Amino acid sequence: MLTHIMINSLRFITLAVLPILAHSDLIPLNDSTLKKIDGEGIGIILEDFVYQAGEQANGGTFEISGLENSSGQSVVLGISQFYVAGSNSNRGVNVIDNPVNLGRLQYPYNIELRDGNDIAITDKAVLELAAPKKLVDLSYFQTSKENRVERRFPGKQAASGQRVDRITGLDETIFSTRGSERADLGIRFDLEVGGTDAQSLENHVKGLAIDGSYVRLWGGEDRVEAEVNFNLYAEQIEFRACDSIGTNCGDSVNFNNIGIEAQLGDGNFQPVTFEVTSAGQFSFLVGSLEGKCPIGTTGGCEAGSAKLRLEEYYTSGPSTNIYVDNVRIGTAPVNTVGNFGSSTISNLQIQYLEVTSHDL
Amino acid sequence: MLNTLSKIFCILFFVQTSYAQLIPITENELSDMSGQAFINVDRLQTAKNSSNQTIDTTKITLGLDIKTSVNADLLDLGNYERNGSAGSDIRINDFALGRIDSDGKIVPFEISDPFIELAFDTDATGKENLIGLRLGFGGAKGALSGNIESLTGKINIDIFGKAAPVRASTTWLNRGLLSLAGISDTTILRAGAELVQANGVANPVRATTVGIPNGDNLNCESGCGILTGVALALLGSNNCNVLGIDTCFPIDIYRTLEVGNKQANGSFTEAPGLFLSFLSEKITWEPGTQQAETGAFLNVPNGGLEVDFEQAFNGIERARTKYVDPYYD
Repeated sequence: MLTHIMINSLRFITLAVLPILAHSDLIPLNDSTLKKIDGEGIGIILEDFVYQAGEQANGGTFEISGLENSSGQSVVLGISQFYVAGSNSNRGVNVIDNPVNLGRLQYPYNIELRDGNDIAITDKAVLELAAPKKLVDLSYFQTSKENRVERRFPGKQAASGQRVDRITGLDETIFSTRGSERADLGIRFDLEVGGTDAQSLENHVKGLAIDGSYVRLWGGEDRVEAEVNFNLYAEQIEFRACDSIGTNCGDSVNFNNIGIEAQLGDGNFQPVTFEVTSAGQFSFLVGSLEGKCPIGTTGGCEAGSAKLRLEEYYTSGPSTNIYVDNVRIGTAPVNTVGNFGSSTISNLQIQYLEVTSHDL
Repeated sequence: MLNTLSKIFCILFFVQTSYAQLIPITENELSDMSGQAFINVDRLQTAKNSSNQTIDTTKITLGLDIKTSVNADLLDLGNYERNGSAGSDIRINDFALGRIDSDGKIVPFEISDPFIELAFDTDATGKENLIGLRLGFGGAKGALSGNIESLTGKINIDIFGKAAPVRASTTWLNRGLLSLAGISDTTILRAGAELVQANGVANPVRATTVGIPNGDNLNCESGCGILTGVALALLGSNNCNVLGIDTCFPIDIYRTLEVGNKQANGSFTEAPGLFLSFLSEKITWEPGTQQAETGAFLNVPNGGLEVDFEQAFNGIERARTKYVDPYYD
């Protein structure tokens, strides 16, 4: 018996002491170790997905309160419908029996740890959150270019080179393929100002795809850095106003066949960061190109490798293209007042962007 | 038994030494969180439609300060056949916001409190028909560069300076007449220019020319003779001409425009009024402002666009907007 107690006491002492003797720390894996990890990532597919929220659907609703108008009256945005469904939802009428597949086996949503050296984010382990890949890994915009021969002022140097003259169209196969994977989504806000119902504002998106979008995150010097690729293709985005139960709706503004391909940031050459300050405000930054090259007499880069890097940035670096095939108010026919044809912003490059919030 | 107890005791004893806890935030605490007043939503009755009737608008304002420097090959808005003619309401090549100074520092374009405003015309049945929207800014300042091929909007340029370039641009006979009227090379003149057609008729739709509208005069600010005021009052601009002097200029020669309120020391502060609208009906968004045209319409605030007569005749040099800039390098 005594022996048994002795043995157990020894076990107890051993168990009690050993953890104290163990000095192992949790040491973060460094980037060079992490980036060697080559997993295939996690693919996520949501088959037959439908989301419907709001008072009309299930008796529940949610409200955004705490807002004010410029006179200080309280404003409440009651969200009386929010839906994600398959295409042809008829502005959120046909939702429950109209599911959408968000991703499929060949093209899933993906979470992956990647070697930064493979994607121009040098010596970093990169966490990538990605939407389904495009069918073809190219821009869906077709552009025509023109030669630029213009001067900044009479008698000064003539600028040469090419620039986009126009976007001739959007590859609309995006709107005719993978139909079961393009979602309709919408939201209806019931606007209440100073305790009085004001109006119901509706926003409906038809045939939405975000193929090719991704966010890449990595550890910077003192904060998380990112690179964002945001693609949006939709058959239609519509805004209109109705009464509080969604009837008696007026004419709408329609943006038809929209393509947005926005690239923000260029690896660790121009990272994107997001911060929240101690005062509760946020700050969003697309890094500045200032200081990236030795400066010559007129403020531009002096010849050298740094200049070559910036030339590459301006030639093939991150850019944003936005194309709307048609903007229309109400049912205005083509080339009449209220039907504004196409609109384009082409090859927009952000050298610096800082957005900070403040109280109004 | 003792064996098991000793293990459990041991584990429990050492677990007790860790104090970190994840405590969920209660509903009460969550409900105390407010929206930080970052968003304002207004229902306004300040806008008027083309029949001068008050209409409702809904304006959503975000409390943001934005500093940026961007370049784009093309900004082309409202590309459709208007009154039988193909073209764009707004078309600007090599568009840029912000500039780079001679020391290589980015001087950003600054905007604050962006908003989106929806305009409704309510019909007899109570339907609120959306007749347009605008994206605007509470304040804006900075360099706006580009080769403006077509512009529907409002840009008022204040031409202010010595009369020497005016005198130099006309015939010797007219120079004599100006001298008789007391206008010397050092006389300071002022004129207001806006978007006009090639014949001087004020027209903000798809304009390619900026100038002194027909009937408007040059005004003398200082160094004037006794007869100057009378002479200038008699000499209104007509068909883009006053005494053989051109009073209209292609808008694409003004390659960089400084947006903002110009101060006495030459610096700029943010000016309200920069907006871009899409309208199916003409709207005066705020009392005392110019009516916005149908289609795409760019409103550039007054106050910053001041040029002298030399710049009016020759244009404004484009600022550097890239570190490797084809206009400079």
